[in-house]
Amino acid sequence: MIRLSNCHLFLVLFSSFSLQAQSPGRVLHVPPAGAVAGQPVELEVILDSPGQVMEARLYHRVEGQSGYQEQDMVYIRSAWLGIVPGHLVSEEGLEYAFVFYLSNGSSLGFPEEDPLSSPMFVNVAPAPAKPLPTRSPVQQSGPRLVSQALVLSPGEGEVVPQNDVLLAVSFFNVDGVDPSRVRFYIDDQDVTDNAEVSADIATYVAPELGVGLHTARVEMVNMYDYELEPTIWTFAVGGKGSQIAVAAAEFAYSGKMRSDFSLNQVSGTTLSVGETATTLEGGWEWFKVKADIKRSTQESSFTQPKNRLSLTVRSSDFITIRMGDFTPVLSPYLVEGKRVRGMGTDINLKWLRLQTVSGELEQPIQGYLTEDRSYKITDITTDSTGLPLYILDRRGYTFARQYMAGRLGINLFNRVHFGVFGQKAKDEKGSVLPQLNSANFGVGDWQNSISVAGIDSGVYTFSNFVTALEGKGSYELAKKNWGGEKPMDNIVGGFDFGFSFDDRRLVFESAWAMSMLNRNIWDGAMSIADLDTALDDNLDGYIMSSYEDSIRTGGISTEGLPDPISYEDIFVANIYMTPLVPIDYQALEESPMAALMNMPSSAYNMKIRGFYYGNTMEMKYSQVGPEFSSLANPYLPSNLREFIFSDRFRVFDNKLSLGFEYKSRNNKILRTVVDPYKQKTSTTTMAFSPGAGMASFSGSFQTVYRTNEKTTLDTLIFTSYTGKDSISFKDNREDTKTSNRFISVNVPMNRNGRSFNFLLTYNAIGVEDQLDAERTSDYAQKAANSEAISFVTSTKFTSPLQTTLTFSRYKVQIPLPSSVNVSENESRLTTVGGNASYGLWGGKAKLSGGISLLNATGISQFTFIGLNGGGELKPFGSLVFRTSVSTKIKSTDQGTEVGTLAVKLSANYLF
Amino acid sequence: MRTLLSQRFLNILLIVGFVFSGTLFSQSVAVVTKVKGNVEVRRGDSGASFNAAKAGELLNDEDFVRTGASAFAVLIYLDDKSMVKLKGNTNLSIRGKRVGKGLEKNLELTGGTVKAVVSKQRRGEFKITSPTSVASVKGTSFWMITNSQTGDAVYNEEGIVQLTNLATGDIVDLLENQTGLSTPDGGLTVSTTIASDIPVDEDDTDDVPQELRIIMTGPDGQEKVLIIKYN
Repeated sequence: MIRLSNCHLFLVLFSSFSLQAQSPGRVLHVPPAGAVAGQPVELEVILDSPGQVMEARLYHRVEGQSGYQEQDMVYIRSAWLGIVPGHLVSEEGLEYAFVFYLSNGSSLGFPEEDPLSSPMFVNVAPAPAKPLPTRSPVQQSGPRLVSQALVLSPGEGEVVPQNDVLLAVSFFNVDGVDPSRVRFYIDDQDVTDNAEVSADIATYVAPELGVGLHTARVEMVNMYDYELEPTIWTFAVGGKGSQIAVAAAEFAYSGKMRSDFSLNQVSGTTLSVGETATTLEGGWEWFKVKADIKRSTQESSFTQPKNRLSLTVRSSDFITIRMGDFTPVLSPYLVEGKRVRGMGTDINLKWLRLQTVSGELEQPIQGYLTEDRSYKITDITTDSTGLPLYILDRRGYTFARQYMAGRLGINLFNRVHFGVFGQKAKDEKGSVLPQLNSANFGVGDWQNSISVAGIDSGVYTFSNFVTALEGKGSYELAKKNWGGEKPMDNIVGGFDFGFSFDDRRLVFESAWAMSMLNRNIWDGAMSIADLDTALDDNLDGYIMSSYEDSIRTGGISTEGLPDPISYEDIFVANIYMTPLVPIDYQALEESPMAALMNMPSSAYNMKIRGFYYGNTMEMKYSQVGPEFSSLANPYLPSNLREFIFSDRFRVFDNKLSLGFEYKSRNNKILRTVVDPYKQKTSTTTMAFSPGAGMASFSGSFQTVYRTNEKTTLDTLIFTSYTGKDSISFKDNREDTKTSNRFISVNVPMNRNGRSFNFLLTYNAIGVEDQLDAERTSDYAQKAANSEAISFVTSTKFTSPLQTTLTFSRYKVQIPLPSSVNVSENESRLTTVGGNASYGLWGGKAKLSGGISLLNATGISQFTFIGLNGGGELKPFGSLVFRTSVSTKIKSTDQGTEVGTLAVKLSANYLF
Repeated sequence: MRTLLSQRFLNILLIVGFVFSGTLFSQSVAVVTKVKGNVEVRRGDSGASFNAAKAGELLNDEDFVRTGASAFAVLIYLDDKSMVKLKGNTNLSIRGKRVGKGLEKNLELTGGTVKAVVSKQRRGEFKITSPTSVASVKGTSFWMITNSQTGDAVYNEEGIVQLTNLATGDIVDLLENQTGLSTPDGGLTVSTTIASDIPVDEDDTDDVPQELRIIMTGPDGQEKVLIIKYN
């Protein structure tokens, strides 16, 4: 009988195994019960691992997107913290995963199994009222729709008094404008938070405007996710007395500076992190320049850059040039969410658009200097003179990856658009140095390998190793084909196409792409002769032939084929490329259409959307072949076929929305797939948000059926140590039903000048094994049932006091085999916290403090008590200093200890 | 059990949604863009109390606006930017029914002075109804002064105004620069407007400097404007 200790259960419950299986560790993370659109989501992780964390990365995306946004997590208050910005939290839902790269070369992920393919999911409730803008996918394939918004006040060019200027734009003639996504700007300053926006009109009363010309801009998105042409107009403010106001071409500038420094003491180890970020923006309406500079003390030659430097030059709406670090988006099949350091251009003439990107996707990393990270002795032998020969292998490096991409699109009458795109990403073989003098590696005892005396065993730096070998022997380090990662080459090409009818109420869009990936270009391109033998073994001037009794049938003559060496600059073709043959030759003869559609290295999607009677209907079919690969979008899931039908119905000026989505996905793209999985998901959502200051509700119910086609147990026959053959069975059948229920209620209240906000969120996930009755007693279900509830109360008093109280409870049940005998299989985590802040000196200073308690009961028992305090000072203008101190006390059966102490200082300046 | 609870919860939300639907459907038809002095609005129901109006306030069908002595207000319809200016001691009931993609506008002026700057109407006519008469236009600019005792005076500045006396049903068309007088006893006359009789538009007397604009166009076609303001 298997008996699991509490410790082991805890590991099963919360830990993630090392992705490289070198170092076990624990990742403690309590998933949020839910989130609210437009509001940032804080994700906290407590890591218990023997290895020092070299990089902590949070990957997050809006549900349904292919690429992830990458973010470095920061260590603060004894935990790793990542914050998903509010504008990336939308009603579609939030997916996230963590990956920790440790100093010993291993990594830990959460969720534990393939975190980026199976990320955590958080239900997101709609924003209750006047949300921050969310960057949910806006259907942008061509110019924006004409908005027909009407400027009511002030009129174009009108001269108005200086105070209390009313700006008003009517949406009466705009179909289905989404008031929650209207943005109001005056002279490029976002004033939406102080504007009144409804489905009919947006108004803003400017308290005081400077004398001169002003520009107002209202940006709109309709409820079908289309961006409308912004409404832009200018008006003049006149002052009293005779004066001259020179307008229209006024130079304006703004800037923001932030400097943070944090000091964390963990079990005697001090970790300090500093970061300075500066944003400068200036120019005229027709020409603007923006510079972003971020410098971090975590910048290291052993990791990808943390520093960011970017310059954006924009001339009207036609030309945008980005230099430095930026995140281009050309197509999900090319690049989406990945940072590029280089230059990007976007020339948009409305009917013609050219986008280009060139630069570096990855910077070269030579490797860690710690023992055996960059070198390893793989063998000790003797050379031709009989002296010892040490065979060295190089590893632990990253090649510089150069990148180039572009898209050329045409748009005819805003009804038909067509674009071609392509990219090339190639590793620079010469970017990694063979010799790294300071790198350490272990040298074993020569006596275990050879009889001639070698150098003493021990740990050497590369240079010491070379010195030690002088006169005693030699070493051999290959010039290529090292044991570390191989240099790669990747090209992707494709097209997109779409058309629309009825003022874009009915839209069809599609895209197709094909990739070629070479996983090892050390040896360069192959010759025609290599190609001849690579595809059918016989060097006879034909490829893809079949032979019977040495008689060739079929095949293609190599005479007419281009020599791969001649095209090496475009793509390095050799036997490591995928696909070697782009199409299944046999399938092509049987069913040409199916063979074409199911090419393993192709990807395509087709979708049709209709916007009628308050409904947003969408039907989408997409497929990504198992061999499709883009080095610039490594998160695009491959080997996936998906069909989606969804409808969202909104009524009462978008105040009530009902949604339904059906999604079916499988991996049965190739005929050769064994036991393909199928997953069918149906989701019903409802959201009711009657308006600002009123209670809002949202709920969803999701059912996921997941099966594979296995109907029998896998049989494993092996020979035991006694020499007898034995048989074991493994149950790999999968047939589960997962139910996900989510409810969120937000209640704002105002009483006696005090404003309260109550947010209740509930989420329950239940997993049913449909084959439960047929399972053996030692079968352990993989997925766990969980339940989370959270209650947050925030209060603003008439005095400058603000408080926030939180309560959350997360419960998870580990599915254990019936043969396991434990008292309970449930773990419960309860979090209670309170924070308060008090303003002083008319808002020029603020004091804050709080306490939090995390208590775990059930199969694992521990308590964390967190204390924090801080202050904020605004001595003048927009200069703000902030400081915070926090500590965490850990209490377990073994005792209580003050775990960590963290201090953070920051300064912000806006101008 | 939990599923049942979820379904019940969703049902409650649906019911709540439909209960609230009535109030949610009351849509705005106009906005108050300018307020000087004592201007008050009464919402729909005649039993409701008056509240001070402010710039940016939205008006629905059947809302009632009244101005105090020396007060002034401007309201603009949302569909076509038709503007109504209210001078002091004016009582005006807003009418604007959504029909298709436009509003059918019919103001009820029970007393006071208004100026209407009417955009070309896509649907129907723009009407101002007083106890004595109805002034209807397709697109024009005119003043209307209503007094329950003496009747109405309509000063047409531009376009054609059709003036109907409700007592007799008589109709006259007022051309540009013509004045129509309609009395409770059925009188309906047309005469040339005497300039001094036209009420003063308080919008024109605001403390806004006069201006001289010089538009300069650069070789690249970029326009720049030099604005010289003076009082």
